[in-house]
Amino acid sequence: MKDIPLSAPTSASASVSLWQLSLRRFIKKPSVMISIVVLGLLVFIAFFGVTISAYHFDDVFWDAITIGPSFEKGHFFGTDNNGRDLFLRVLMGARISILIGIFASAVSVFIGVSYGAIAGYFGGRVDGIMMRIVDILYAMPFIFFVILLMVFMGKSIYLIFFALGAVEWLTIARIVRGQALTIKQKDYITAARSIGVPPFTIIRRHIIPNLLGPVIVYMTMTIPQTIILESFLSFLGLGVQEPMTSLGVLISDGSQQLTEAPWLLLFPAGTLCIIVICLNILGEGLRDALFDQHLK
Amino acid sequence: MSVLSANEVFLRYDSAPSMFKKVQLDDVVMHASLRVEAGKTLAIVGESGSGKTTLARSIMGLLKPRRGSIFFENENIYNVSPLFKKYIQSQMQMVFQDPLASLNPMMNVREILEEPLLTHRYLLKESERNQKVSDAVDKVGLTAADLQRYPHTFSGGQCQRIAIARAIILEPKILVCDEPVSALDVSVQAQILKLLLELQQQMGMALVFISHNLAVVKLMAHSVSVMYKGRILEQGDTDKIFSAPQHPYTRDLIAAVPVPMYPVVHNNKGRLPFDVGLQVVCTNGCIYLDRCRYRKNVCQLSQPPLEDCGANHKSACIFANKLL
Repeated sequence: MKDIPLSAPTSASASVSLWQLSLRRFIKKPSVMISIVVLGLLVFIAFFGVTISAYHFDDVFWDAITIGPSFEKGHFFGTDNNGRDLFLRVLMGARISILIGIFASAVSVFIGVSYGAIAGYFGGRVDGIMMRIVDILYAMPFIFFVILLMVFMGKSIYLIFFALGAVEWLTIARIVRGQALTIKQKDYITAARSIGVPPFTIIRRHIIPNLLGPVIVYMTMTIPQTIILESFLSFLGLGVQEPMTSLGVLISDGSQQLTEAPWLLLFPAGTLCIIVICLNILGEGLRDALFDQHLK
Repeated sequence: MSVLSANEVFLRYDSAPSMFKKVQLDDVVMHASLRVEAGKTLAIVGESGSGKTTLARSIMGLLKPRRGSIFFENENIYNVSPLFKKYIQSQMQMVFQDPLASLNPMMNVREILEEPLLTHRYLLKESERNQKVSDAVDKVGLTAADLQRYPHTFSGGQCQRIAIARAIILEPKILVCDEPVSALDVSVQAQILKLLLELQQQMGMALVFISHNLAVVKLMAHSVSVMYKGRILEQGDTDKIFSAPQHPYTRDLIAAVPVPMYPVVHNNKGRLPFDVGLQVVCTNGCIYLDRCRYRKNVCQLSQPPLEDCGANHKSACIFANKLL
């Protein structure tokens, strides 16, 4: 009979941080794993598929204008009314949309976290003034703001990253400020203050790492939101310009030919749905994994 | 020589922040004067809400007194050059009541212990810093393997050891302990108290020991200040406070300590009279008037100041030395 060790080896699990614990819980969920795989595949194809393809995404096939999906001709998703292969264009659009989602969210998280943490930590009058500024910006119409930016700085894809990020940071700043207000009451902040750690070091070393949980969750929720917002901007003609494309542009073009060529709407819209649903599942999975960490 | 002294300190908190005006709240600590001798232990005793922790925060430089001043080695800690303030901060460290809450959950033990060194001894080489960290860990009875672990994997007593290691790593002259054992199991309490006593002997630091547990105070302290409703009512050497208390509140506190192993005797002796302070509106008289069993009519006239009633012994009762 084999001896069963009485105590489990503790050294392996002892130096696990709360982040690692949450990560383990996160990837344990089947829905989360499926989303990661699907999203990963999509991103992989979008970023490498276009590059290795023999054709360019705006190559015109004169012999195949507005044909439906067919495997014999090699146009899996069909072609549009300019004879361009929709498969390549959807991949290109997905690439642009994902990039915009990630970069715009990164910009907004960077601004929002710094701004909110400073307002929350210093509190009092600083907090009052900084949050009133946020309130005022909140009240500004988003489209007006974007048009203003476009007029002054010209149309460019980088400007869209910036414009979307510059609008979305407001909500993050509010979330972070609320978190910072509670965290700064904790004893470890008092301990750091009594040791004499300078305020901005306290914010960087103690406040921000402890409020990143909700921010990351919110960020996974904002990426789909940003992608949809970009679609909306493109739909209005303020976003990505031809021949470059994004899922939003493809959807708005496709919706105009819904009756003659439904595939022009179905494939881009389906791709957008898959991305958004996967990101939402990831966001919810993250929220569950991060916020029941006290339950273990 | 005293390393720390407080002189007639008044403390109050600001109200909730408002953009345009500050609402004034009442003082939570009044007329507080203390002296901490180098290498000795001063205990501050009192029930919850008596202002002990507020006073400790002020001593640590976190709450500026409205009136009065706090001196570290003859320098007013709220009126010094930034450089000297930094020196003072390195010489005064604090241990908190809730051990887990006083450690950042996102940092492992090594990062927690390095923080004071990175703040005050930033010229140290990495090897010297590691040496100091492992020394500190050694002193509080943890092992080097614990350095990679995170606070949530430790028990309360171990967390308090980490907090103590963080506090002593700069070899401070003063260690302020705000109820360091009241959140711990009784069996662990004794270990932590023993550790604090050992460290005090090894390093010669002064302790400011805040507690509501008189048994602990008797064990740890050289002198005691008894606080009630923001005032110090009695101050003196520990043995005198316990053998001959000269304020009715101190007597009630000592009598209220439950004695285990004896049958419970139901009489009113040894019970703290019920706090009816909020109902009695008495603006001028002694703050302990409503609960005092020795009260006389004269007690309603004014709050007696803290006055000498013996060698190294002060009491804020007009009947000091005359209590039966």
